[in-house]
Amino acid sequence: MSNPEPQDAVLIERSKRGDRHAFDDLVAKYQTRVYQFAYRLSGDGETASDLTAEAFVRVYTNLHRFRFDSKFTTWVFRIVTNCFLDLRKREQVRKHESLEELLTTADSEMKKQFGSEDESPLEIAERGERGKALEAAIQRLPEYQRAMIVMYHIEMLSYEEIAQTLDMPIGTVKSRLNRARLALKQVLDPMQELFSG
Amino acid sequence: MTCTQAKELFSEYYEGTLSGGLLHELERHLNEDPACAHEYEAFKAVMGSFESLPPIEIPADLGERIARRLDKADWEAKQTRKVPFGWLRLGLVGVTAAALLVVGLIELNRTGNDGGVKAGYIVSGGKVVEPTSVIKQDGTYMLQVIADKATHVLISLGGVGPGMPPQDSVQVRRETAEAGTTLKMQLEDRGGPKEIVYASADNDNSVTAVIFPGTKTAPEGLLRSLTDISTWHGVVIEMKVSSFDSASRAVALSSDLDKDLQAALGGTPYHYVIEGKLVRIR
Repeated sequence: MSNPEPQDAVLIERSKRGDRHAFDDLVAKYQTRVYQFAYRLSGDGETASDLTAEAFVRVYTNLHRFRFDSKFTTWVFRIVTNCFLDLRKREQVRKHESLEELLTTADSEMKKQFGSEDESPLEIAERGERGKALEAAIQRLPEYQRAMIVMYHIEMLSYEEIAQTLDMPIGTVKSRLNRARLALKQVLDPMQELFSG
Repeated sequence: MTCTQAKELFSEYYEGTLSGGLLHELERHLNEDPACAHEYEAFKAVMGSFESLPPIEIPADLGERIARRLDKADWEAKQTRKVPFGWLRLGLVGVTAAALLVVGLIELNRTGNDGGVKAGYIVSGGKVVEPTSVIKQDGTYMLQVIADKATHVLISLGGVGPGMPPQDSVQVRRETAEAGTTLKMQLEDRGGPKEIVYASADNDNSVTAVIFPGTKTAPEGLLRSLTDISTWHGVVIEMKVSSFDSASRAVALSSDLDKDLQAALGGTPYHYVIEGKLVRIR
């Protein structure tokens, strides 16, 4: 059994009894984090908003099933991930930025950076492009690998929490995370220079 | 050790959790194979780059969007909980009709078209005080919610789909009334909305449909008839509704509001009260 934050536990129990105010407070507390997670999964603001809203509806209607066996956030992330996978199953399309276009831009900017010791505006721009390239590369990963990367590297979930979220053994999480990392590196291989500085 | 085997260990090596013979084997492999060592360096560089991800801008309407979806879920749950079996629904209609019949026995005498109560029901010499009702204040129609407990109020517009309010209606406002307070929400801009306004407070058992003259869309049946009446007579109609079961084909084509309302409501358990330009139907 996991120990939720005391305030969360109170809000969850009140929400279970039908107190919408309490649930609204939970939403207010976690909506930003849930949206960010959904955005990293989907790579699209509109989709992320939909996923966030859908996830909170599922949390709301299934809250009676939450038994404090895991952290509340872990349970919520699991629901967001399921919403995302359901959406992908339905749509069977990906909405993401053209990585190739991004790489072209990043490469031309990158060449201007070498030889500079102090951080210049160009270097700041170069770092920004690297972030966008990484963001686009994450979107190129298969959904499960993307979820792994986002949970571990961006949401900073532990192996145990990811295992609970994705309902798989910790050993499987570790091996699949390694594969996801290798896949991410492979997508970014054509612009290794951008990441080596 | 092969490169493939080495790559399987990259994560553990990067995290410093690799030890013993495997650690020794991997390090020896990386020393002997520059290409694989380069692969690991690239891997490490990517792993260290997550801080460069661009920040995410949170949409300003995110909270509102979530609230709308939750409101809809509330509504759907409420609809599901409502009278699950047809026979029970029929029974409730019968009970309601019987209650209205009793109320009808103390119905006000018709006092003519003087702007006062023309037809309707009374309790102890006064009008029934509903927790949710429409009032006219400073020339503007307002929804008034008397909150005996903390109460959420939802305002939706239009829609012709099933459900009450219709599933395809658009929720436009949501407010909360603290316990023991009275909440007033403006229902119209100049000329009134062109779609039926649905208002629901969770301390009430029904939905209030408010029909302004000129309302364009309405579900088939009774509400359709009432939109015609509203437009024809220039009155605002407030109606307590829970379903579309009560249908009437009456269409207002005369100038007699009383007659039109009776025609529209005939065969239904609804009674009406006319208060100036406001018609209350229960």
